[in-house]
Amino acid sequence: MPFNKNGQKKLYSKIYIYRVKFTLAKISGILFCSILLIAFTKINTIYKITEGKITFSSEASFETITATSEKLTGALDTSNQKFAFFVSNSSFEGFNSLLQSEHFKESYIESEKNPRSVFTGKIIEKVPFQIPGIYSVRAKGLLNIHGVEQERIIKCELTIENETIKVVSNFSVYLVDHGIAIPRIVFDKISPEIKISVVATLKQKTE
Amino acid sequence: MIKQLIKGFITLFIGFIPAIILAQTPFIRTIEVDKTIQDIKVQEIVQDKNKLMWLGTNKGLYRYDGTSFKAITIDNKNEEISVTSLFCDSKGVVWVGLKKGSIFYFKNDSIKPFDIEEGNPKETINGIAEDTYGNIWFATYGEGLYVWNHKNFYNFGEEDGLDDESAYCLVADNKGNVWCGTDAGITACSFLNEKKQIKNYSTKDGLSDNIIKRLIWDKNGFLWFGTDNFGIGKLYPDSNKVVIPESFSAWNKGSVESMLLMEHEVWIGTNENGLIDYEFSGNNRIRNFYGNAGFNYSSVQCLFRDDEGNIWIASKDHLAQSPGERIEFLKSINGIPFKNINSVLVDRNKNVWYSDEEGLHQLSFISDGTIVNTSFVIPKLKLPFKILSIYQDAFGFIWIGTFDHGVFRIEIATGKSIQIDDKKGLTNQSVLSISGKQSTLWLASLSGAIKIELGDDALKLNCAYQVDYFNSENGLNNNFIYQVLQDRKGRVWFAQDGKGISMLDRDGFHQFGEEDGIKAKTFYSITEDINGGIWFASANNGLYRYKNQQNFQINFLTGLQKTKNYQFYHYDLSNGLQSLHISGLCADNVGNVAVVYNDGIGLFNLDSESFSWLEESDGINTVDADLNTTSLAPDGVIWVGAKNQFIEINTSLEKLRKTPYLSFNIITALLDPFDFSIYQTIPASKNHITFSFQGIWFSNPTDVNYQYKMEGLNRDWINTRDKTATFPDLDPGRYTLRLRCSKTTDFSGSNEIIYSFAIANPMYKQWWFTTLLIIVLIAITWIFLKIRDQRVNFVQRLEKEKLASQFETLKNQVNPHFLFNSFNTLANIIDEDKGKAIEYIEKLTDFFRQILIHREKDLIKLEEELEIINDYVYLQQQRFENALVINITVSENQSRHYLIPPLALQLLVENAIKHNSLTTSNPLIIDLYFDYEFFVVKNNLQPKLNKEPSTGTGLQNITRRMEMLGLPSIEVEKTETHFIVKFKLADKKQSDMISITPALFVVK
Repeated sequence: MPFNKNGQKKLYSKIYIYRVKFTLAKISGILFCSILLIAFTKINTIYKITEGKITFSSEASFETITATSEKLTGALDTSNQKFAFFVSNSSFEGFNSLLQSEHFKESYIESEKNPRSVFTGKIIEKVPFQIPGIYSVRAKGLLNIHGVEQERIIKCELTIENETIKVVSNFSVYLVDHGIAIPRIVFDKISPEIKISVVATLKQKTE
Repeated sequence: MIKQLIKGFITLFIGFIPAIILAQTPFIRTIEVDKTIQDIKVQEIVQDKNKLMWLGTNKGLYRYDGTSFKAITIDNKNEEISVTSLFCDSKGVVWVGLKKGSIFYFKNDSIKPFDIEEGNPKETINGIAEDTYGNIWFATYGEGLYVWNHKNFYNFGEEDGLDDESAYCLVADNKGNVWCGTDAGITACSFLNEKKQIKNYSTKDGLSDNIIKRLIWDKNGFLWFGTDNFGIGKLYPDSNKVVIPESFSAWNKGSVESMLLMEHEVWIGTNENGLIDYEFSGNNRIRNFYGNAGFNYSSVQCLFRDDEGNIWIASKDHLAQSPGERIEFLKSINGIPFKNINSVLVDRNKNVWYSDEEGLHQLSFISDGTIVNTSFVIPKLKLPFKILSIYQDAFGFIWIGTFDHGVFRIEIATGKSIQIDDKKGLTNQSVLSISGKQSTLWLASLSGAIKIELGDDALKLNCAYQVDYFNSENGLNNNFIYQVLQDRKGRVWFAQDGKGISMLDRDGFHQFGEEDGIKAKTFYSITEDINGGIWFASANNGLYRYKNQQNFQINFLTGLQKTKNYQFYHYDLSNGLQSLHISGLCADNVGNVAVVYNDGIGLFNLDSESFSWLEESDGINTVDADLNTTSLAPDGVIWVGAKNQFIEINTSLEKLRKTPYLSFNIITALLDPFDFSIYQTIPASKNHITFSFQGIWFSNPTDVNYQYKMEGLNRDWINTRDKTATFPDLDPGRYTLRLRCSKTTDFSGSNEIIYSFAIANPMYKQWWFTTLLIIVLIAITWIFLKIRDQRVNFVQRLEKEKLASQFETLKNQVNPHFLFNSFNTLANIIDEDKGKAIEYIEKLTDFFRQILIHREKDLIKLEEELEIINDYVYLQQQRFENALVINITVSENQSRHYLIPPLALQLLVENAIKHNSLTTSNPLIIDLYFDYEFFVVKNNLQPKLNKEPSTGTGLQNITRRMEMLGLPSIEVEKTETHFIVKFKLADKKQSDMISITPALFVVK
């Protein structure tokens, strides 16, 4: 037999080395993948609104006007707690009359000039987004209505459960703060304080 | 010569015996907040506009008026009541910040949550401030700053440019900014027209530490900061300059938890090393009070100075109060207390010279807070001896006046001395006091005053001098002189034992005694105030003051002329003194005169012309000072050598507020509080008025006395120590309550607060009520008269009708027809039957008697009426026999129960007989019966052919009488065959009413 003990041993040891190398490659591959995965999941902290509804109501002594838009869009970044919510001003429906709706769009909100109302900012409290629960938080940001920006702190309630965040908020907007003037003649029909309620469901963005 | 040198050497050698002692300490007394709660820690202190003290503790909020703590209940949803910040804004609202971020505010005597749409923070509120625009700021630990512009709530966070969101403290400046200390340095923020401006300062800008725990502004525009690890420093924001005092270059006392800035010192409260005092003006001395007498608090969380100038110290488990740098005490050297201090002098280098039974000593102060005590041994003086006075001349030499050994002049640097005694020309060896001006010295001795004039070589210890004597032989009143004072005008004043005051001026000696209003004989001390007024302390008759005002008198010959008439003002117990036995006087250079007596020290302020007394809260119990133991230091501090301690009084830091601050707390009308900021008219039903008030005087709360006078009720002032005054039953009228308070029993010059109000007239005294009452009375009288008239008319009418009816009946009965018929019938019967005739006559008489009996009455029983009918029918039946049938169907009950106007039925029956033909074949049948409630008289109708004329009065008469008695009218029904009369009868009840009412109203 041309083989000697040493040669055999070498062969075996070579195989052994290959095996080790292969295992190492496997492990490092898995590691690399998992790092990628972690990195990927870490990057993906953006939640987007899948269903969003915004309602405003003006409760004046002579008339109550309510209008709703289902076209609330927006996103929340849970890594830095920043958010941005948008709604198209022309998407509001449910006025008491067609005329009223036109008035709203043309005279008050001026939707051609100001197509969107926006609220962007940051949640003040540190929210543990990975833990399901109900959190009462305050959102600090710039509220842009009628082209006039106002800094606001708005209270809202976050309900976090399996990968969705539900946002509910009720707050008031004073027309005067956003440069919307009410003609004297409709003073009793439009309240200077507009009550706004927002309900939105956010889901993790998947791309 | 050699001997002298040796002596001088010995003096030098044993002269200095230095000893290092501990620093002086302020007086501190402890106050217990709430005994009922364990582990209570005061964390924040603030004073409101009524000067009440607010204490924020870990167990809630308290308000302190000097005598009691009132717990203010915070009704917080999350049950967190640990108060971490307190602030009183310019409108008097007290803001309360809690550990878990909630904000409350106290306004109009109640505490409310700060309920805003934006919600409260959720992290600890560490500071509250108000900027010059009126915005209220809140600093949180973790959420940055918040600002409320009385409309919206805004947040300042890292995204706005804040270096760090964890803030420890917040102060406002006078330019519209607020400054906050954070974990990353100092941040200045402003908020104007909703625009945020932020500027950060950190170690890059020269701060000693990034963690800034406390901030305070000083008068010069420096922002003092206290750091976590490197002591304190100053930031000058205009030039961004940072100054770290040299004394803090090696700080090792840990975190600065609190800071308090005073005029000359800053107090620093640390976490573990107690209270540290840094004197920034002067010698930059740092002292640590921790462990010194009376101060054992290792952790000082909060320091606050109230508007009186008292300092409040919040430690972990104590609240303490202190007069601060105003008064300090020096009690011992290395634990050995001072004993029997004889005389005191503070020299030009602020060294304190004093003498006791062991000789002369000098205290000098080192900037590290220690004091060096040096004893000077004077070789010629052997124990026992007594040094009575110490003086420093214009050339820097120290002079001591001794008992029986003359005076010594000592060179400070070498300790060498020279003695001037009887051998050198002194007439008396006992020098009670030394004073002087420039090169002139005045010595007060037991044999007159001695004047020493130093020669031109006075800078040498052993200089030339000249001695002059003044005694009873050349102008003084007395040879026993306690003190001599040469004033700034060159006059020399002598305080004498027994003969009052003497004065020497260019015109020679003047004596002042009883004719000048000076009752005292013995004077101990003289001082000159900054206005040139001269003060004299008498041994047992208080103080005298010569105001140094020129008195002018108009002389008609020479015009305006100065008089020589000196005027002395006397102060005794009646005008502000607390003791008549004054031992020492010392004027400072800011307008005060310190007055030392056995049990205390007073300060007379020349501006306010009033005394204030150092109180027990200042730590002064007994002074018991010797003569010559008060001395004014070059820094303005007055040193008093009391028997066993030195008292340092910083008169320039007199109490900021000198009298109690008086305010109404609550005013109630019948226990209901009402708004007393406006004039009120209180209804008479609530005329029980209670005033609750407080005079805030934290320096000595128990000394506050009150006096009130209700104008409109009281003539004199009423004294009280209570904090309430109740007026239980005030008559209507206008009132003004005048209230004043004082820290003594003397109320002159005390501030007064008033409240005017009125008690309204009671309702019955109001004009509208009186008018209404008169109207109602008139109306009632009118109605009464009207009703009476009606009733009288009614009765009269009834009477008339009755008369008419009687007349009718009588007329009918006495009618010749009836009588003729009756007698005719009777004539027929008499023949036939005598018995029947008698019966007939009886019935007839009975009939007439019945008529007579009943005619006066309004109603008679149906029974009685039926009896009349029976009689009548009997009489008629005798005549018509079977042609008249009468059927009465009335039960006995009915006949008793019902009532009827008399002769009503008789009239109806008679009418029936009268108007119908009666024949045996067609008899007249009259039925009387009840048809339910109606009584019916019914007869068949067979009218006579020749009708008897009918007057109709009978039926009419009955109808009217029935009406008047309130009975429904008669129904008359005439059919073909029958004539029916129906009417209701009265029952007994109705008859009662009818019989009573006429009786009441009948006036005849």
